[in-house]
Amino acid sequence: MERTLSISRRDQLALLEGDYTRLRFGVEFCSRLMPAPNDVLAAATAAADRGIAFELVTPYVAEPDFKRIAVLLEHVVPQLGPFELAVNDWGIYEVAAKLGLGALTFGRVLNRKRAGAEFADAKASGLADLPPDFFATASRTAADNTHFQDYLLEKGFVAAEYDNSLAGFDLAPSKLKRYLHSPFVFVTTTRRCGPGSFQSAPGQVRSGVHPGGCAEQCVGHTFKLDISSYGVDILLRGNTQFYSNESIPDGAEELFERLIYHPELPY
Amino acid sequence: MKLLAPLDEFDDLEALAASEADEFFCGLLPEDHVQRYSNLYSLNRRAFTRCNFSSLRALGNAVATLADAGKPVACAFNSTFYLDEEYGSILEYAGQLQDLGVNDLIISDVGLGAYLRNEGFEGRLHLGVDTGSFNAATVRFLLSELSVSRVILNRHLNINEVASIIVSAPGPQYEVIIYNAPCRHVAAFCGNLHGADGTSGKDNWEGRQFPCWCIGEVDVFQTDDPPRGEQLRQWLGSLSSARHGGCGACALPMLREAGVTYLKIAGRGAPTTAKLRDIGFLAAAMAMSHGKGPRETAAYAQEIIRLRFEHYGHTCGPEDCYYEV
Repeated sequence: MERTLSISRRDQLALLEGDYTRLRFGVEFCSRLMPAPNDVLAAATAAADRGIAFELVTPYVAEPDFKRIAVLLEHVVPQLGPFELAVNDWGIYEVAAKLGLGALTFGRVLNRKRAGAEFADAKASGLADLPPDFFATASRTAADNTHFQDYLLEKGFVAAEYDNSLAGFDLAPSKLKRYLHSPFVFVTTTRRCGPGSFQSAPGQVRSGVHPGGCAEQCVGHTFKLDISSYGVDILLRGNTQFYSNESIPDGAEELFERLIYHPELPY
Repeated sequence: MKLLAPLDEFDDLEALAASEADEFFCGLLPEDHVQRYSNLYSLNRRAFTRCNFSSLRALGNAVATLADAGKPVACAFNSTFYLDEEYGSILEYAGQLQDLGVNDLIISDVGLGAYLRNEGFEGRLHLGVDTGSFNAATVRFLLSELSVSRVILNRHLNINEVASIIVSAPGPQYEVIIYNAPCRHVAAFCGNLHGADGTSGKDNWEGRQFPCWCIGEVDVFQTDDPPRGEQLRQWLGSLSSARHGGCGACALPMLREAGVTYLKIAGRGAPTTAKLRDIGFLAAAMAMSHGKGPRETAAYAQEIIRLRFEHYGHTCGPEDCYYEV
């Protein structure tokens, strides 16, 4: 299985050591934190200097950030050598298609699943007595539907990203390549962002999605949440919750072409 | 603006037909599907059987009663994805529903929408709130791909974003959720299961307890920045009273100005009495908003807070708000 290193920020380029064959750079969950063009180009250069491939990853994108990220793509694409693009937003897909980018990866945010952290301890969560077909469905994702695979292939996608969910995998062969994230499993994300409210006055509760955005004050902070109904620690980075699953499932080599390794919690 | 209200098998149909709601929406969760997969793997985004119709026969009866009052019903097949065999089942249901008078389907799975169109489904598609549309380019793309007649905008947009999307992606009707079910997370991308009571895993609507509701039980027990951790703890705690909130009534003048034409009250599974109370509150709020422009929002919001107290016996706080006005 090919090993990809995935990082979100330029100051993480120092982590690019080891037997990786690809650098994946960008963000998945917060469009405010998408790196600037110069950072993307610096990351691509770092990959090229090490003789490894480069992949840019883009997040689901809020309306106020869309133009900036579309311009970023238009600006950096001509300056990059061969690269791949992971897409987590249909609007960004359309920009990529207009730019003629092929070999797209269907990102793990869009490749939706029905398995949260409850599967960390299925018995404690009361799931143990459910029918086997339920667990089979919980191990699958949107990209496991063969009709949808055809649609994605038609749109230029060649691969789909998977979380290493504790629900496990019960997967049929796919027309798309499969890439596996490790070790941080994406649970849920929000635009009513807790760390994004840190700029509020003490005691003030901000409602809705803040029109003024935030000051990116989440950067560098990690919080661990103990939600009693889960059997696993929830890790909060910015607007997104994760849990860690260090265990690679048996048979992963046959199911997944790449392992996307995150040395730190992603943004 | 028109008002949509939730509908399920256990409702008093005559009372809903006589209400001020203009349209209804519902879900189908057949018994054989539940037998095979459990209710947790629902055909729509409400997994409790209490929130659904268990058969086409029951659903058809409700549609006929509401049709007599001139009120159409849309059916949600808005799960975020489906297995192969379910696409075929939903196509079959879609045809049967059209025979019953249901011409509008709410979808959130792009693959399902493409499949239905490829297979010749000619009914109306509503792009569901859980499609994950946060920008106008996404909406434009999906409009062109799926021939959508209505877009239900995501809960996690502010008014400026709502207005920008509607201006930049003209054509469809635009709908927002105006009341109840204020998911803290982006449900379109959320893997949490919402169909069990949290302790037994059983289909127990009355005992429902979702992990993301357990805000009061969350403990920020490890952080690399203790002052920030305390701020986060306070923020999470402040939301604990919002689990039954979710209201955008104060924003009605701004939403109308933005081009929103349909307002959805969430709440399938609630008793008819609760639904009627919500319909009454929103209908009164809509009537009060007539002639009010965005500049009058502050004064209007005060009227809404009083109206809410009259209807529910309690007021509200910012943690209940869908929109910052």
